[in-house]
Amino acid sequence: MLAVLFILGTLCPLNNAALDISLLDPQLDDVLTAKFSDGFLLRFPNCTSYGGQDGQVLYQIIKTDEKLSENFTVPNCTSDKQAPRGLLLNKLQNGTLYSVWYKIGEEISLPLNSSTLPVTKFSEINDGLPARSGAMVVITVILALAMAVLLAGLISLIFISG
Amino acid sequence: MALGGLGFLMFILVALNILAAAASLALFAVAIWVAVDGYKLYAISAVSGKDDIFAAAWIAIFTGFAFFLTCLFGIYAALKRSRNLMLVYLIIMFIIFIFECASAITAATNRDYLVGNSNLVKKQMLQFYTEDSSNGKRITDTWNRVMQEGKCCGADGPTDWLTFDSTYKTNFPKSFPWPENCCEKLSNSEVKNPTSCQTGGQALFKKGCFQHIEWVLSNYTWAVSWYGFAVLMFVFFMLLLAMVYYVQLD
Repeated sequence: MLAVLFILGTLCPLNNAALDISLLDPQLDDVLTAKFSDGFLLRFPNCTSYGGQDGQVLYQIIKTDEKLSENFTVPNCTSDKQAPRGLLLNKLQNGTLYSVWYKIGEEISLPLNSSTLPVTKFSEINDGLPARSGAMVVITVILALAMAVLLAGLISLIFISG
Repeated sequence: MALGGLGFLMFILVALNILAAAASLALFAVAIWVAVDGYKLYAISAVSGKDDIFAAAWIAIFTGFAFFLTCLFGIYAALKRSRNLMLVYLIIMFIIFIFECASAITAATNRDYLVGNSNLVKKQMLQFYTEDSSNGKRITDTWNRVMQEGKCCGADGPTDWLTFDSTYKTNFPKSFPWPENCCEKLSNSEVKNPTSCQTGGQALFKKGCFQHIEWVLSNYTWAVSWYGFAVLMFVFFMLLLAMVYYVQLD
């Protein structure tokens, strides 16, 4: 009996019993994106188990030692569609791999590794002429021919009348 | 040519000039519609230095009215059966024809530069939105209005503000990832649901504004360029007939 309990205990460690961390899913959670250039949109911990409790979201750039944290309160379960969908963690660096995890009381979630979006300089956008449209080519060619024909006709007329 | 044939040719010429006068007046009116810019998107073309669609519209205003007056003169010249008057009519019409050709070609070419794809509009938006300059103010006002009226965000979508850096992000680093005008607002200009707006929820307009901008500028272009082309083709054949009439006159 004790052996069975011991085995079960090693299989279900208390530090990640029900606390998990994930990014919101744009398709399921009706948000545009869960990754920003300066942050992430994280799914709140389960409101049934942790609603109303204070917690911390800890994060660090992978392969660095500096750990930062922000405090938040897990919202209570609600059917209000206007309620926040997730926790916005921002003020991060763009294009950087972070490790993020929750801590509520003594419970700590497994870390979530994710990168913020890289940012491109707008000056690198090529705003030159993409291509000439068919309409422009047709109009130019036909009108150029028409002008040439009229000019030739007018010169002929002047010669004839001369 | 027998007098009967000449009379018939004169009748045809007078009729065609009447039609050309009416068509030219319509060109004049349509060009005014473009120049007035009811959709108020002139700033987008002006700031980029590519406002030739509107320059072409101004040319079409003058050529449209000039065609109208010259067609009336052409009716008089045809009825008078005067060679000299017909020659003057042909020369003036040819000069106006050249200017109107320039207008049609300019409008069509400039449209390709401006809205051939979304890059120019997008780059301009990212550079000038909230910039503290006269161009910045014009672009900011234009985009604020376009985003609210068109219920859209960015050129291709809100991700434009995430994928690229921008003057907006530099000036407002702690604000929403995208401008507030990308979200539904109340009548007092407050964002209806700030949390949903900030996290990209239902309050955020998810379609891009480029489709609307391209539609407006293309309509302006087709009004000047294709309708101008149609008038020119009609005038071309009318002038050929006028040349035949001139040759037949004593």
